[in-house]
Amino acid sequence: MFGAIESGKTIVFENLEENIDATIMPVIGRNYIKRGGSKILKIGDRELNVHPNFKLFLQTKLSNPHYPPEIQAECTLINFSVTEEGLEDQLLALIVRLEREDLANTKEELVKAQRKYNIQLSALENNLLSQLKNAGDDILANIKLIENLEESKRISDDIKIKVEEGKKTEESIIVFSEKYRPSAERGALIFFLMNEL
Amino acid sequence: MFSLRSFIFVIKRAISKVQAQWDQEHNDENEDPNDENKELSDEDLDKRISLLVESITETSWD
Repeated sequence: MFGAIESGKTIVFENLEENIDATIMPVIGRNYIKRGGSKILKIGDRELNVHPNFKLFLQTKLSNPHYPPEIQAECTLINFSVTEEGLEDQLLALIVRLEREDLANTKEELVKAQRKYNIQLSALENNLLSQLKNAGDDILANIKLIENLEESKRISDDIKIKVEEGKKTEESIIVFSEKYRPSAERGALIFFLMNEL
Repeated sequence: MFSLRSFIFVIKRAISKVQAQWDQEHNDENEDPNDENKELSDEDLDKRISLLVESITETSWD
């Protein structure tokens, strides 16, 4: 671990129980001392120069672990455990992809298009604000600015129409996908039943 | 703990079983074998979903 701290590597502690070794507490607590431009970490009688890329991950398989507040306060908690509802949605997406690949692809394309439209709208807004800021005193006399405003409005209206069309298509895909929900429900139910056996 | 990855594999197998069985049963009716993603009638879709539920149950317990 000392080498990883100094060379900026990542350490993963797997399958932790509730008791965490006290020797790693200074690392978790980020008990750094600033010296010059670098951070120094004191573990036992050693002083380590902490590399900025050093990362520490703690992983546990405990379903409901209880760690002391000092650990909880210093760590970002990410819960990867599966819930029945989450698994059901995951299975539904899988079943629809395998059963109706065309619809799954259309939905994926719609999501990409929506993202693209949002970026376009944001760029238009920024462009407009920038033009207005630099327009000078008499905005109405600035023909180029007025033309750009009209063009922006036209593009924005086009995007709104496309977004509305996309929403309708997406809704119809969701309605169709929901028909497969019973099979996803059954899958999720069996998964959790098997885990409880 | 039963692995989620293995379970997803089981689900995929259950679906492919239904697809193979369905294709075999409807092969004669389907004139164009390349006509994938063909829309099913409401009745056929209900039947196919019931088969999927059944296949997921059986394949998982196996």
